[in-house]
Parts: sequence; structure tokens; C-alpha cells
Amino acid sequence: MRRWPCGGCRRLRVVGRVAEAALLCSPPVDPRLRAERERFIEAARKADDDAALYALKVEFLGKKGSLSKLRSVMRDLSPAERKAFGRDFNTVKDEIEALIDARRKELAKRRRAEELARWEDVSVVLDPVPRGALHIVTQTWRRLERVFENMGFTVHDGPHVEHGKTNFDDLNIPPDHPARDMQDTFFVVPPTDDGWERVLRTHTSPVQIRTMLAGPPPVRVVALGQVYRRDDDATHTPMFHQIEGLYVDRDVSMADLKATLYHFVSAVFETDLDVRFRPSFFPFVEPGAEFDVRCPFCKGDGCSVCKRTGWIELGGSGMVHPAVFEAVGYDPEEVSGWAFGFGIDRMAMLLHGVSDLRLLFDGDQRFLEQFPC
Amino acid sequence: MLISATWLSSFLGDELPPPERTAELVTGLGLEVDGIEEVGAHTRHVRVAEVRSVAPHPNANRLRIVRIFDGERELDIVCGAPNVPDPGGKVAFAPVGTELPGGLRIEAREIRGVPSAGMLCSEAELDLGPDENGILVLEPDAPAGRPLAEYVPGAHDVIFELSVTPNRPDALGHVGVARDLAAKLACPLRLPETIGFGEVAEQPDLVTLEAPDACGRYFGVALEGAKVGPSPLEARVRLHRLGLRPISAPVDITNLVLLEWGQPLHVFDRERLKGGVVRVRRARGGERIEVLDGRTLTLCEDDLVIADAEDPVALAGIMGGAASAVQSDTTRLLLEAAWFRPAIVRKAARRHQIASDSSHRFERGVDHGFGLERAAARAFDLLRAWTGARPVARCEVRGEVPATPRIRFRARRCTRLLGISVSVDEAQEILGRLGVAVERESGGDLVCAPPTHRPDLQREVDLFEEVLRLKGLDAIEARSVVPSKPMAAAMPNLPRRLRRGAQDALAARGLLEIVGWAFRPDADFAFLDDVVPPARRVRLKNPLREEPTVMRPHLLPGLLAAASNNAARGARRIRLFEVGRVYTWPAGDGPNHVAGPVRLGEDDRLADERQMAGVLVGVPSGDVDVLRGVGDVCLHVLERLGYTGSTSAPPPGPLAGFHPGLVGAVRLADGRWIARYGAVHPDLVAAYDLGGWTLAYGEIDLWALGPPEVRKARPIPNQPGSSRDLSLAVPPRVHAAEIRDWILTWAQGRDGAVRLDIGDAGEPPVEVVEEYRGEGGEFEGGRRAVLFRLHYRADGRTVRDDEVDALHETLVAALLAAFGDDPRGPLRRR
Ligand SMILES: [Zn+2]
Repeated sequence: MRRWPCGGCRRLRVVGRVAEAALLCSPPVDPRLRAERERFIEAARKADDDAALYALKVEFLGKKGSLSKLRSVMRDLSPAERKAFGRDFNTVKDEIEALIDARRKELAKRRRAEELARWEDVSVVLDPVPRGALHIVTQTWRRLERVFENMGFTVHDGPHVEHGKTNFDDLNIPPDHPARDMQDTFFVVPPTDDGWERVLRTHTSPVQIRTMLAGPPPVRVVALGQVYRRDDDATHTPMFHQIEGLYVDRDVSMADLKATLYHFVSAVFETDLDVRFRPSFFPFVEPGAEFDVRCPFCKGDGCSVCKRTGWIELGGSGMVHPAVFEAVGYDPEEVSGWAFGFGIDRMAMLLHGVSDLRLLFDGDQRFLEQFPC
Repeated sequence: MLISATWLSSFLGDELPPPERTAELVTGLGLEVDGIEEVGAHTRHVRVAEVRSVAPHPNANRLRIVRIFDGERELDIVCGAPNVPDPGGKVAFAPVGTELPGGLRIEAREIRGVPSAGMLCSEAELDLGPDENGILVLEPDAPAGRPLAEYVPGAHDVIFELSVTPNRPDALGHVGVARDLAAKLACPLRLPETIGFGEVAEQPDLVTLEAPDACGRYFGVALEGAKVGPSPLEARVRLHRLGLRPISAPVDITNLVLLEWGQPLHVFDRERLKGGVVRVRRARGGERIEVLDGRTLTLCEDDLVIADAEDPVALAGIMGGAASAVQSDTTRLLLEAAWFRPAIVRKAARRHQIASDSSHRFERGVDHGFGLERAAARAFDLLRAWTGARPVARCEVRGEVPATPRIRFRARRCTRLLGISVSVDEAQEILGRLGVAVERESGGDLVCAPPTHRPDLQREVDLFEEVLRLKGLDAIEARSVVPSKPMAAAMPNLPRRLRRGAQDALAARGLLEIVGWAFRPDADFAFLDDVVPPARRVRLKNPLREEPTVMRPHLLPGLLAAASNNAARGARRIRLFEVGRVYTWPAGDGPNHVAGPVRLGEDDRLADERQMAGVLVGVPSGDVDVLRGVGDVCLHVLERLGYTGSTSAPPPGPLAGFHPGLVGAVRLADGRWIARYGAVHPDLVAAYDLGGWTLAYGEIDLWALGPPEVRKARPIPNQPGSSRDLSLAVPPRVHAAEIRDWILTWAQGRDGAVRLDIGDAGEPPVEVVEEYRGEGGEFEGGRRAVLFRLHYRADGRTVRDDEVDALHETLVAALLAAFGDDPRGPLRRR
């Protein structure tokens, strides 16, 4: 079978097992050899660790060891005796080596058994390293980014202090239009009296304008980040986080918008979820629609999260208004597109079951550390 | 916008579906129903009763015993009201068992020893109006025994709360909602009949239009002989149900027509109009008017007013003047029905900070055609019927009204944009139902003229939406398209990458991320005055609260505020971080830094938005190790992001927010200071109620970082090197990092076989291995002993001791010489 090469190895090597040393059959004839052998067996029995075994080996088999010394006896023997002595000498020597080896293995086995017999209670960590955490808005932000990046969207961002023109006029929200009231705006004192209107962006939608001004279609982007509205009550904070999606190309339809939203909610909630539209009004889209997602917690049966309706209101969407295309120099007869937007904070609260919006901005460590990552 | 189901249903040819279904349908039309409430269910049990006799109560002066006939039998009721009518009069009777809106349940009981078989009720007790003075007295012809719910239509009702988007002014009246619903249900719309102005004489000088650009149409009708009294009960109940207070018939009529047609009207007391005429004109600068809410406004020349022969009597489309208001003795009336240009009303309403029901509608654009005419006629009819007034003169003037657009509708394009199939026939039929005048061209395109009550229909896409609304958005099936050409690969987004990397690195060090407010009180940044002068702060024009508020130029106050809260809640350790932007106006002419990859030409006018990472670590009492720990965190973050650097002495110059003597920095290999860390300035510690805490703050200027380079591998030495220890007595305020950096720089400039290099185990070439301050921190006059370890090696061979000794001694001599005349004190070898 052919495999992708790993780049390192050329061939496989097989390493065989080393054969076990042979064992002895009969004791030696020479009394001196016999005595050394007995002495060794006695000493070996007392050797309790590797160091003692090594000392024994030196004592018997070393250059000046007691067994080695017996070799000099051979000089005084007849050739026939010498041959027999020599054979026995070698046998005893082999035997001692084998016994040392066996003893070493036995000791290792015993040590292993002792080690395995140890028991300590490690069930409780007394001083754990503190866990860090990303804020759940960050975690949700990333979750959304990942889903849209996988769907081929580029992630863009824009300034928080934005031109009034980019935040409103270019998005078909002309001055003196009631739609400007839909998002109560923080205005910025200009650094010099240049008559230029600067606002804290009230939505991420100016990134639509910035993206389209930067180049021709097709355009497929999401933008995530802080937005600001002059609103402060139990369900609104003056700063929150929004995600904006924009897709412009030839023949982009509302059916594609629905498909994209469906894929996205299913990926975010990791389950197959229906999406529905309700007609609504956002000046920079036409038709405009709010979109709801089938409640992921009760699958539509009704629960407290969806207020028993089976649906959760998620955000706004629609087909990019031709006036927006005209503001960025796209030809609305040539291209079409959709846009959507919704709050990341609310999504984070939904995902993590947070009911009090204030917790997100309070910096309470007891809250933050609930979401280690 | 509150909508009464009873009233709504009166305009429909078919039965109104049950409330939940109606709400669904209306929401499906884009008029979102926020709430449904059934009101007045008790009025099914409350009955009309006839007073038969009234007798004094034997035991109480202020109580009387009223004998009533409830349609079946006579009952005695004890009643304390002063206005019980004479026998034959009709009253509202709540029999035993009725539960009134406040939760009061009527029981048979004795009152001061006299049994009472129910209760005679006031308007307020029945929740039919605000009047709680005395019982509700009904018309003499009211049939005894009739449940109130039947006798007064709308007494038992369902009220829908609609949130109407600003593009739909037509839905700010019951007729408009009924019109949409009828189109959806394909049932006839039944509009209220009107008699109209008929034979009323024209009086051309009754109305003079001097601002035809601002006022498109103005009807004036003069009536005389009016008797100003209360409106009929049914009308009063209707107003009450819809959240308005009944006042008097003329005022109630304008309110009812407003709620019916969405058309604001006004009635003047003509007696109080000088010359008995009105002029629609621009205000003269400085003219003043007292309006109905009691305020006196000083007008400017952009304001449009209704004036009499001399003075303004109303701020056009917004609020009437107090001086010409209808009063109880008024007999001569002037009814106004008009169309004012939305932008003019809106500007004036904003200028004078008045939001009225009238301005709300005019700003969005009311009908200048059919709706205006019918609303005027309706009010006229009601004024005659309810006040007995007779018309004496009328006048209509016309200015500029928006032209009705002619819009081409292409069914193919509609199909393509919506992703649902729409045929020409179907579109023509749907648009026709909505009152759009449709002509079909031979090519199959439709040429459409929307009705005057739909000023939002301006372009083809607006008509697409109408078709979609009536077909229902569920008709759209999810279907993906494939991009027409391959999408370009996303360009790297460095700020985002740094943000992610920093967040991950900081969380990995056991820190908790906060999301802090991007704006804070300006006072929080007083500590920055020397670094970011107030003129460079980005100020909010209309902050939430009175105090001056700026976009934060620094992350520290947000972190300190969070730390302070946590400390107050008993935290034993602070470990917070934030990665976010700080905002300042650009200094001088340098380029500003607009976040994000897309930059526009005019972005030079925007603020610098620099991405920073801030870390705040605190322990109730700690030492310098906590500070060094934060320095290590900063360095670690930068290393994880791909940069090489080291902790170092701080840069010269002021470091706002830090304790001046307990501060360090991280320097990149190119010498730039990119992070600062150290103890929080004691003034700030005190200001945030964190006295006693050791607080270490670190911040990394992520914005100043360019793209990191991919790290290259360094060869691992395979020959042993050699190291020398160097113990120095370092004077106070001399940083060990200065000495280390001096040694490294010195060594870099030398050639030779032997050099400073990493140690055998990978140690840095110059290490600080020990620091000793002596017993009680005292050592040789404030000096401290610092033990450096220097690693030497040679290329490709084992380095010799004599070579190393020679180099080391040369180095030490040079070092001691270099720091010998340092004003902070000489460096000594130990
Ligand atoms: Zn649910």
C-alpha cells in the first residue's frame, strides 16, 4: 500500500530479541572452585541492590577477584587436569555472571512491585493554579467569527468614532429623518470646529459602506465589534457588541439570506434549527425583515427562554437598499445583496444562560471565572 | 400605538379573527404586535339599572338607600355617591359576584346595618374613564338590564400594542391597520360614512397660506353655536382604552380622528383668534407663544406657525397655543386639517423638544389626499353631532405636496431579488389590493402609482416588499447561491490576530478578561493630563449623565474600577485583563490610526483608536515579585505573539499611572519600548479605595506592533561552553537590566574567537541569578548585591579557560569603568 511519505524514514528495521543465557547442569570437581561457587551463592543471596551486586562481581570476577586469582592454579596442573579445571573454571565464571544477572532482574522486579504497591491520595488539589478566562462576549464573538469564516466570509472591523455620514447618510438614513431616532446616538465633540459630524457608531453597518467603498463586488464580509447607543436600562447598555454580515454579488436573493442564516444558527447552536422572517424596517435594507430562530433549548415546544413562543428573536436583516449601493458607487441594477445584524451580548447570554445583562460589564471575578478557557 | 379590536373590526367587511390570530397576521404584515390585553371583561356582568327610589340611610348621614331595577327585579343598594339621579335615571350596577378591575369582588353585605345587594359604580371603578367623583350616570334611554359590555361598544375589548416602524405613518391609525389587514384577508374595507362640508360657504380669507413650501394643504372650517360638554360615553371609553384622557367633545373629536385616521387635527376657539382668521406662515425671529403644555417658546424664523391676524396661535403640526385653546365657554370653533412638510415639523419639534402625538405623525408623513379629506369631514360631522355647532364658513388652500411617484415594477426582477416566484398577474392583484394604481404595459411591466397614504413607497424595491408582505415571508425557501467568481482569500488582519493572541496568552496566565466601558468620566483620567492633555481627549457631546465624559484614553481606570468592586466583594486576589481600544485625537499632523483594514480618505478627521492590552494583578499585601510577575506576563504575551524582547528599565520620561520608582518595561529586540509595567501609583490606589493592596499594572501597546516575523531556528551548540559568575554591588536606582544590556551591547561590538553566547543548557548569555539586599534590606549603603552569570563559547570547539578569563576580565573592567562615574553611584565588584 502506498502512503504519503513522512519525510524521515527510508526503511523499517526489525530488532530481534536477545537470547537468554544458558543454565548450568553439574557442579565443578575442584574443591577450590566449588568453595568459591558456594561462597558466591551465599553472598549473592545477601546482595540487596545493584551496587551490592556490582561489588560482588568485582570481588569474584574482577581482575584481582577471588575467582580470577584461581586461574593461576592452572600453571601447577597436568595438561589433562588443566583442561578439566579450565572447563570448570569457565563454567563457574559463566554461572556467577548469570546469577548476578538473574539477581539483578529479580531485584528490579521487586522494586517494580514495591513501586506499584504505593498508594497516595491525589484526589484533591490543594493549591490549584488560578484559571484564566476569556469574557463570554469574546468567546461568543469567536464562535460567530469561526462559523462565518468557515462559510467564506472575511472578517472586517472599523472605527468606533465614525463619520455621521458613514453611520447614517450613506446607509439611507438622511438627516431629519425619523429613522435617525431609532438609535439614539452619542455625538462627539469635534477636536476643531470643522463642522464635521462625528458619532460613536450606533451599529456595525458603517463597515458595509467601508467594505464596498474599498473594492468591487463580490463582497462577503462580517464585522464584529462595539457599538454605542444612548440607552441605559435593564435590557440595554450604552455600549454593546454587534455582528454584521454583508453579501453582495450578482443575483443574491432573500432565499440565500435565509439559507445563510439557517446554516449559521445551526452551526452556532450545533443543532438543526429553523429560521423565520418577520417583515420589519431598517432604512438600509428593502425588503427588511427581523429573523427569529427556533428556540434551541426547547426545540420549539416553549420554555422560559423563548417566553413560551418556541422562537427567539435574533436580529434584523434584509436586501441591501439600492440607495446604499448608490452611495458606494455600485449599480443596483447590476448587483444585489443582503445584510444582517444582531447583538453578540444577547447571543452570549442565550448560550450561557445569563439573565442579567449587567454581569457582562461588571468585571465580577466570581462571574468571569465561571467560563475558563 | 394601541389598537382596539372592537374599533378595528368595525372597519372590516369580515369578522376579525380571534385576538391571537389577528396579532399573528398583523405582525406578519410588519406591524409588530408587542402585547395583547383583554380589558373590561367585568362589563359583561355590570348592568344598566334604573333608579326607582332614593331613601335616607337610617344610620349614616352620607349614605342613602337606592332602590334600583336591574331588568329583572328591584334591589336595595346602599350608596354614598352624591350624584344618584332621580327616579327614572340610569346607573351602572355591579351585582353580587362581579369582580371589578381593582380585584374588588362584590358581595352581599350589610352597610351600617342595611343590607346592600351590589354596588353602583363610578367610571374609575369600572375602568371606563378617569372620573372617580360620583357614580356613572347613563343616558335616560339606556335599557335597564342590558350588560354594559353590550350597551357601550368597546367597554369589553382587546387592546393590541403595536410597535410601528417609522416608515409606516399610515399604520398610526385604526383605518390604516384595518386597510393592511383587509388587503391581507382580501376582504372589503368599510370606512366610516361622512356627510361632508356640503353647502358650507367659502370664505377665502379664512385661511391665508404664506409658506406653500412648508404646508401642502390646509382646510379651515368655522363653526358657531357650539356647546362644549363631555363626549358620549362610548367615545370617552374608547379614548380611555387607548390611553388618552377625555377632555371635552371638541378636543376628544380631534383625538378620536387622530386615532382613527392617523390624521392630527386642531380646533381653535375662533373667538380668541384676532380677526377670526388664520395665516400659515414662518415665525418672526423672537416671537413667543405659550403652548398647551404650559411652556412658553421663543420661535425662530425656521419655525412654521399658525397665526391669527397678529400672533402665532399654534406651532404648526406640533402643539396648539394656550391662548386660543377651546374652553368650556367656547362657542365659535375653527377646525384645522392640514399637511405639513415632515422635515419642518421634525426640526421644530427637536428644536423645542416637544414630542406630541401630532408631531410624531407629521414627522413621518400623513396622508395629504383622501385620508386628509375624510378625516376633516369626519371631525366636522362629529363636531356638529356632539356640540350642536353649525358651519358658517370654510376655506381650503394648497401648497406643495410630494408628487406621486410612478414606479416601474418588473416581476422577473422581483422574483430574482426575493427568491420566490412572483407572476405579473399576482403582483398586479396584490398591489391593487393595497390601493396602488397599476397600469400594465404591453411588455408586461407594471407602472404603479402608490396611494397618498403610503409615502414610504418610492422605489421598485418598496413594491417588492409590499408583494412579499402580503404573500408572507414564510414563502421564502432557504436556497444558497454560489458566488459569481471565487472570493479572494482574506487578507491578514493584524490587529485582530494580535488581539486574539494577547487574549489567549493572558487567559493562559490565569487572568480573567473584562469588557470595560469605552467611555468614562473625564475626571477618571486626570492622572494623564501630562501625557494626554485634555484637548486630545475624545469628548461626548451628549453623555448619559451630566458629568463630562470621554472615550477612554487609557485602560487603567476601567481595570481599577473593576478591581475596586471585586475587593469590596471580598476578593482575595485581583487578576484582570482587558484587550481593547483607547481613543485620542491625533497629536499634530501625524496620521491617525483607524482600526480595521478599510480606510477612507476622510478618516483623517477621526480619532486615533489604539489597541492596548492591560493587566491588573493585585494581592492584599505583596512585594516586588508581584510587579516582576506582571512584567513577565507582558514579555510572555509578546513572545507568544511572535516578538523577541526582554524586560528592561523603563523608558525616560513620565509614566502616568505608575509609581515612579516601581516601574519597568518590555523592550523589543529593535530597542522599542512596547510594554510598561509596575506598581499602580499610590494616588490611584487610594482613589479607588484599594489602600493596603499591592497592585501591579502592565500594558502592552499592541497597536505599535508590526507583523511578527516567523521565528528561525538557532543551531544548538554541540561543544561545551564556559561560564563566569560576576557579583556586583549595584547602587540604588541602577537597574540590573541596564547592566545586562550594557554587557550585551559591549559584547556585540567585539570580534574574537570567544564570545558571549547561550549556555550549555540554553540559558541566556547574561543571566541574573541572585539578588541580595542584606539583613533588613541594608547592604553597603543602600546598594544591593546582584550575581550575574555570563556564558562564553567558541565556534566549533571547546572554549579554553585562559581565553574566557581574559575576555571576562576585560569586560568587567570596561563595565566598572562605564558605570564608574554614574551619578547614581559607582558600580563595584564584590
Ligand atoms: Zn424555548
